[in-house]
Amino acid sequence: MVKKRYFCHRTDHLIFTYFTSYSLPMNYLKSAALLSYLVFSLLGCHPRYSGTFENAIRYQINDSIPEDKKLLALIAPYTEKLNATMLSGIAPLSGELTLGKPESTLGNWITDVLQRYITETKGIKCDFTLSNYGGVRSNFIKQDSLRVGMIFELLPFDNELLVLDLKGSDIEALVRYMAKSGFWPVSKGINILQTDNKIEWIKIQGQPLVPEKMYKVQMPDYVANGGEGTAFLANAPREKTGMYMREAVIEQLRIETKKGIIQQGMLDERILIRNN
Amino acid sequence: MKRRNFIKYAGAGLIVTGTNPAWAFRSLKPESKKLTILHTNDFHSRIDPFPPGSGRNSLQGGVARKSTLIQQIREKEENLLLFDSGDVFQGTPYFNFFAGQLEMQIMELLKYDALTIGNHDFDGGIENLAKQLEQVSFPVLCGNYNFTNTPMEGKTKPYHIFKKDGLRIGVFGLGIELKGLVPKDLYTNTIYEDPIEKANYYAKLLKVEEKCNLVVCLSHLGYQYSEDKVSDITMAAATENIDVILGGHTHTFLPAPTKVGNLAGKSVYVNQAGWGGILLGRLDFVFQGDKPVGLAHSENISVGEKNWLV
Repeated sequence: MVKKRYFCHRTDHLIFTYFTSYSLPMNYLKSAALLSYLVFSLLGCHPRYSGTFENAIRYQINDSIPEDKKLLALIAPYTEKLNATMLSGIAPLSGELTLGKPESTLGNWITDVLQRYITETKGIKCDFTLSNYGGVRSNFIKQDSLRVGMIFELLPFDNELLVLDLKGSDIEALVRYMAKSGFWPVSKGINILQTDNKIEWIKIQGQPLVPEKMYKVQMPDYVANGGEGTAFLANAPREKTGMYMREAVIEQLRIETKKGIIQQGMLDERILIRNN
Repeated sequence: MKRRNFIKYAGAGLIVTGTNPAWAFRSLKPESKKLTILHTNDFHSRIDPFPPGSGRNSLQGGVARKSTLIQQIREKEENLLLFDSGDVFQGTPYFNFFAGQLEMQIMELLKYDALTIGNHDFDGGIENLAKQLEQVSFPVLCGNYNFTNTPMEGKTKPYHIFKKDGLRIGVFGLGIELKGLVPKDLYTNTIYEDPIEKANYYAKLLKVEEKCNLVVCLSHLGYQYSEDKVSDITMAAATENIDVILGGHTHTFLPAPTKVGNLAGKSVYVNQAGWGGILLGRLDFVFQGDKPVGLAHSENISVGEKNWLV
């Protein structure tokens, strides 16, 4: 049995050598094959391997798996430092916040908080606030108390808030651009009607948008600098706030909590889509 | 298992060939070999499980659990490789506070074999990325970012060949276009090079010249797009010599790897494992000896979702 295998094995080498040398010129092929055969014979067993795909599994990582103590020990000192800041509650929340398109409770809420921050707390005139959809990184929040850590998870990027001076026509272009991906979170102050994939009208502060008029729009620097395919905004005049988005949200929530305000999400058809 | 085979075959060889054990080795038909690849992507600093109130992700993931699972699999599989397809950084306060230091320590502790770079890995700046990567001993693979004149220069290599029990596994990395996705002051002078051109180049090098049994691409290009943009699916179809693409970026939860026909009409398997450490992907390959190098694709895929008891 074993002896028979031994002979088969050598034959296999010869066949294989031909197989891998097929791209070489024919006159070279025979000598290459012979040489390889000799080399393999001298060196003995040098098998090549071919594979088959046998199995694919996706493991769910959940509480059915015990935690590795070694990892927990590595993480613990980091978590301790974080928790000192992150676990502090900043605002009560009623109901749940969900991210979605064209408008959503979470998208409306976060941009409204930022709009109140810039207009009420900072006293800067601003017509509305927007965020790119990808800038809001939680899909769902349902907690009685909003904590600092949750705002970090919601807005993890170090994006500074800027207030841009935009012409009405720029806003039109921006709205059309947003519409292509199903719209982004926008605050109160702008209303959009889209019918059958066409922007029907845009209202700013309740008034129809005037293409030649100048407006003020707050947004993350990421968008203002063209980071979301918005290169057409990159040259617009702008005012820096010096605040990251999450810093502004945390500050505004603290102020409102002191006044006894309970945070709540709501939908008000600021972006309305009709398909006939 | 291997040792037992050795003793058995060595004994048989002695009987047949007389006295010389070296001859016994030569007379053996090579046994089949198994390779297990584990993979993750888009970890996004999810050290702890997702907190309650995170919707369908609530209480999922967590590195301390993932570590237990990986150890369980390591105990059973001799030939194992563990890869990540980028975006390790950004998404929880761990990153905002510690800039990726803990994430890299964890990857080192979990004994990852290779990593490719995602766009969010630049979020702390390119200097920070270079600094954090100094904490790991495994190769960082990227074949289409030119880091000349950046702090990342010399910190990556395009590919690496892993040798497992006589098998050669060629692995290369591909990154996504950074312009428009990452602020320029974060990626500085990094030059993005055509991923398809680079994929063809490195895959051929690995499969043909380096005679790898399996060619794996760690990609952060993204699974698929509705617009005309290079992705794992378009790259798989536009290249040859790649066997497996382990992707990231689009946070795609695939129930099973997607089979794509490549330029040479052969199958490429594209897989992605969600994000945030919620899933661990696993692909098993079996290799038989005395055949041409590479993947024969007489596949028998069974796909399942499994809990940790392997």
